[in-house]
Amino acid sequence: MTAPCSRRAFLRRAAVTALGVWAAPRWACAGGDPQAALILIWLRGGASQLETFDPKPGTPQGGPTRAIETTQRGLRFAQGLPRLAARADRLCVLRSLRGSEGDHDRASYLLHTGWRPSPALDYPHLGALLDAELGPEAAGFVSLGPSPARGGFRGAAHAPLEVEGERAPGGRGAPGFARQRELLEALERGFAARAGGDPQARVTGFAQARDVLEGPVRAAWELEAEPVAVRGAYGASLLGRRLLIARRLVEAGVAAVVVEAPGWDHHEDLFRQHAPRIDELDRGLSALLDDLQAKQRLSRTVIACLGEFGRTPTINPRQGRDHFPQAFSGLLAGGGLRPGVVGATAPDGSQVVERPLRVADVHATILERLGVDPRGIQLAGDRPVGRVDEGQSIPEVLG
Amino acid sequence: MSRAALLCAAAAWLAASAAGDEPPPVSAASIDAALLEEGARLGLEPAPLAGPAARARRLALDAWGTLPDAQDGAPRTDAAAAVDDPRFLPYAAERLARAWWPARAAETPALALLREDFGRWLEARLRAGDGLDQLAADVLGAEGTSDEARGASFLVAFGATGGADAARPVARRFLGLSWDCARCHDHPFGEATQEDFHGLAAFFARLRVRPVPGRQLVFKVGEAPLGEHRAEVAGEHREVAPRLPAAPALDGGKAPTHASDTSRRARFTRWLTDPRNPYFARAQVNRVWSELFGRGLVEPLDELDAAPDDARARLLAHVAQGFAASGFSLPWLYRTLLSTEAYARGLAPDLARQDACLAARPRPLPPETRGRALLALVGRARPAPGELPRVRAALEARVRAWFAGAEGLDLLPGQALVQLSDPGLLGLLAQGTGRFTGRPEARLGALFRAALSRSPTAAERRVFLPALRRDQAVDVMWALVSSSEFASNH
Repeated sequence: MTAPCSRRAFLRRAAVTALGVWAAPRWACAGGDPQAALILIWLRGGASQLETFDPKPGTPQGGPTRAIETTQRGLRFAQGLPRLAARADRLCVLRSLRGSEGDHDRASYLLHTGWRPSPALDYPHLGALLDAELGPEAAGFVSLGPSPARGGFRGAAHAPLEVEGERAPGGRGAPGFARQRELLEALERGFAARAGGDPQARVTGFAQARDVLEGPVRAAWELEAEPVAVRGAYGASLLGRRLLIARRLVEAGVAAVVVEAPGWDHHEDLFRQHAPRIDELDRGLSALLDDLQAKQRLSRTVIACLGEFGRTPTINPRQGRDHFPQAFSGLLAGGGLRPGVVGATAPDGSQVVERPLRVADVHATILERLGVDPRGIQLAGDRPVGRVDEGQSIPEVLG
Repeated sequence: MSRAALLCAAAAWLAASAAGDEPPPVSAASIDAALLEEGARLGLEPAPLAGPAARARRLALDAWGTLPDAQDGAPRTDAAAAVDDPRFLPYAAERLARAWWPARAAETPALALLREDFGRWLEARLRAGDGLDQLAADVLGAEGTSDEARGASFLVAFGATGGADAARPVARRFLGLSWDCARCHDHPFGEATQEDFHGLAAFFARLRVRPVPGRQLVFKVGEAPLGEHRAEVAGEHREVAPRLPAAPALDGGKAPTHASDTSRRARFTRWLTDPRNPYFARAQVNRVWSELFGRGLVEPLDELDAAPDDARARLLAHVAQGFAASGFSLPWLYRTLLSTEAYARGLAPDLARQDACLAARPRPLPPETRGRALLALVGRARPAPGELPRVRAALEARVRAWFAGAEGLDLLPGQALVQLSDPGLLGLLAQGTGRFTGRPEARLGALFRAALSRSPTAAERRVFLPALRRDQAVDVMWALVSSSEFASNH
């Protein structure tokens, strides 16, 4: 463990350095390793496992998608992923994920929290859990795009900073914030006296947002600071730019970043419509792996790449594939995880035939690798709740 | 109220009807009497009524979804007039749409379009004077293409992937029952069993949703003559027959049969909307009560079958009986609840009185309402003369985005970030400050009255007046719209 360093203290320290984010890496707080972090790439809508990491060429289910060899012996990817195929020796490929939710909203909630939606409890996002458990050393949780879950019962203080746009969040500068805060607090004090509630809790989010606007996290959006070659490697797509921002956020000390990669829900014309998304993923994720490795951060950063479910092996009459939570694929990388393939599906892709995995298992693995005991408990009010929904870490990838 | 208690209540209703007894009339006064009686039993004093300006703000936000007009003159606190106002039905439809089909962060653009069209259809039907029973029947029993039978879009969104996926929202939103866990196992604490869940799902087993070739976002919704619901129940994968959540013989004395009924959904909706149904009217009343008082008479809203049989549950049954007798009229329900003294009470910081509806409870404004309140505050409630519709639509979309996801009173970091930094919002606030001119003291009073329907306190004047004198009106406006007082109805 590194020595304690509060989020605010870190941000302040970083802000006063002349070189901004570059001169204020995480280990500026104390000697030792950089902050452990998670980058969760959400293939929103549900990517087809047959067109990405579990192709079935030559079968009626495989469609026109061909397979290509990778740098892992015996592992083949779909044809649209040549760059990732060349980096497969750094990837953990999970081919046996099984879920119970076929509805976007519910499955997205499950993917991001590790729990099925419940009317009884609003569970925290995995990023919120990490932000809370990693303590004051973690500089927050950012969602690049909308988040299907927030702080849940861990509270608004751990809710993601959801930034939809690609521009750097603007700001009015410190003097403006001080004035605004004084005015807002006066209103909240008065209202709490008349109507009840905690006035401080109501302005917590303000303080967090102000930290972002005043500190090095804001600089993560300033992609023009990156060499042209680096920007080019990530690609010009929304996903590519968001992945580069994510890398910069992790460097600024953010504990968890969700990168929403929209546009995978192809019930029609899937083979044509998936192609550009696959190319963007291939390019962006490959660049992220190379970049983090070059900056010696890959071993402390877990990358997870998953959709909320997969897609049906059966090709529907509209040349699309529908929702399929019964057997789908995902990737893990970085964080010192051991590369390899876990699990397998039947030749027709209809079911998992080896080593079934749940989303909660993936969460448990991520938590364990990032130094948070997945068997620990958290409190929802006074009620003890597990950190994961009976998930078991995946020993094959923990190494 | 347990399922047995609900069934007893339904049986009592049936017996009273058979005996020719009239149930007690439901009115604002009967509701207030019940609340005061319960308050007295708990030893709680009701808070005094709120002042006219606060009540006018509360009523405008609840009935029309916006702040009262500055040009309205004297504060308007007449609940019946507010419900008769042309602004009422569009907002009631918007809230109903949000309740029956809530927007989610992970919604696809196509689903968002269908949801918006669903809201427009609800509004048209409410304008035509239809009751919620008719709307529910048309939503769940829809047949035809979604551009003609527009209520069908609900089933397109929730029923296309099978009966089990349809059963969940139907149970929760139409019956006030949360049966999600009974999909895989009997409810650990409640009474719902897997048989209940899958029995409900079986009513939707023959539902067929197909895209209409060549027509974007148009779907055909129909009922197949055959087809059974199959599920794993208690470890056994098998067919499950339709089974109603409560089994009183409301449907001509016959329980739905397994194979002979060709439109199971029609049978289900007949049961659902029967005035004697113990769930539907209560679920709808409880939702509207929760909107207006910040908490349902029975909590949680979707566990009607698990609530204790207490005074609140009995009051819910009482109001639900009036609602059913009104023809499930949403205007009747709002008019009645908005006319109660309980609705008009002032704020008090103690939760016990708020829980007992003897004091007002601050309720977070829905994001859309908050956006409209902001536009009203800055003088942009209506399109400016000559403002192009697409420019107006873009403004409204942007305002919606500023407050999207704002569900509670606490300022979440993401919202704070947007509110602190979005140049569009800051520009709009700067523009809005132009409406408030004059000497700082008068200007501050006008700003507070417009945003919060009250004058500033002495403590607030000490902080805000120097800011206005330093020409920091945008900061003042920012603080007002970022405050939980502005973001809530109270």
